[in-house]
Amino acid sequence: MTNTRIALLGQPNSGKSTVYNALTGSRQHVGNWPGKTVERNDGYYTYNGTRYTVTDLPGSYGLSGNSDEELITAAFIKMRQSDLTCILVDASQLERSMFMVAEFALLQKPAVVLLNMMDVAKAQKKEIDAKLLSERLGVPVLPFTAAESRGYDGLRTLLAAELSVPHTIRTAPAVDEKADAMAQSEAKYRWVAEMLDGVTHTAAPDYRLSRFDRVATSPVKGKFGLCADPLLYGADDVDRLQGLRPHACALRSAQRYDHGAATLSQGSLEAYPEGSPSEGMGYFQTRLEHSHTRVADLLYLLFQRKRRYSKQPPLSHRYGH
Amino acid sequence: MKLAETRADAHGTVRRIRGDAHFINRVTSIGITEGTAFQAVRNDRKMPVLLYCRETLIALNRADAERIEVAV
Ligand SMILES: Nc1nc2c(ncn2[C@@H]2O[C@H](COP(=O)(O)OP(=O)(O)OP(=O)(O)O)[C@@H](O)[C@H]2O)c(=O)[nH]1
Ligand SMILES: [Mg+2]
Repeated sequence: MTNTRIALLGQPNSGKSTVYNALTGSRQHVGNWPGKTVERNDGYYTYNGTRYTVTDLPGSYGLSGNSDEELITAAFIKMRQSDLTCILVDASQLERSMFMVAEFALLQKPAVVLLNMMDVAKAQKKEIDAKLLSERLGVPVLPFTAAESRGYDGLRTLLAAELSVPHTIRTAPAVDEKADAMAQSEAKYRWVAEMLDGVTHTAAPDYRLSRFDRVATSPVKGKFGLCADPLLYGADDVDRLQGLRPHACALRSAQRYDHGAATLSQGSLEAYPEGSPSEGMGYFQTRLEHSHTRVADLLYLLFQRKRRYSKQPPLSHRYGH
Repeated sequence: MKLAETRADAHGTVRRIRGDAHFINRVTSIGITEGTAFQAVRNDRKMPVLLYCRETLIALNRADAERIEVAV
């Protein structure tokens, strides 16, 4: 048997490293904000006498490559030969996180979809018909809670089966390569809506900030305040925040996502020329937690000018490409 | 009107997003596209705009919220 390489793909904070750690017994950084994993990690596990390789990839919102992490991920998925991609989607934010599946569907490669965060979706009274979704996509869709150990036997069995008889997503968004970026994204979300039609029932209710959230996101007291301009906008400021864990870690991650000015070109990672008008950007998503249950998801999106980070070494130094 | 001008708790729809392909790629990959329904959750001066769309709470930099036209 030769097909033994599995890649874990998904948007930031979808639980990739949690799955990776559980499968391989590693201790990759897991935490409640996006952008923790910044380099790919390979690990191994043995199941029924076969040794499998698992690759934990940096979180990425899509495969169009907007930050260094996204480029690493996109390059790995597009060029490195993993035999099977396990795509994690967040069941509690299904429509949005299916965007990654839409991008992947265009590549025509073997996949399984892991519907992670099912406990959160259940707590939010969201129902998902995984069987119908699986029929639509033509690949297995496994409802999963990565934080609980009991699903992993099922996952190992599924991965082994799919590696020997792989399935490829049978439909893809009708993307016109010549259309502009907006039209292409809209085509992907239209496809997502088609896939989810009748699969999920979420009468999107009003969003209500709980009292806890109000404090946590208050400009004065909370995390929201912490990611106000001066704090995110300079490496020095972030250094001064070290004591304020985990927020400082989250800010660090957000800062890493600011290296947006790079493009995938002829199979190599290549930085935009210095002074390019393209902007970098930072994401900062954090899950505010009441003990075990996440009560809210915050997705911070902060764009910054690339030149603020000109102090950082170029891509080639950081990732050895 | 601009997203940056919305009042907290207002519901609206994204009408137009201005920017280069890079900006559009980023904003759409997190769920904000033209036609997306949203709820403004928080909009304080000099702070990122908090909005709720596609089951996700998003904080958007003010400068970027200026580039997004909405109807409320
Ligand atoms: N409730 C719940 N929490 C989960 C589940 N899976 C992961 N988490 C939590 O979600 C957070 C993110 O998990 P990670 O494994 O670090 O996510 P990731 O996809 O590796 O994130 P990046 O490396 O930042 O892209 C952590 O706090 C996990 O403990 C799940 O199924 N249910
Ligand atoms: Mg990770």
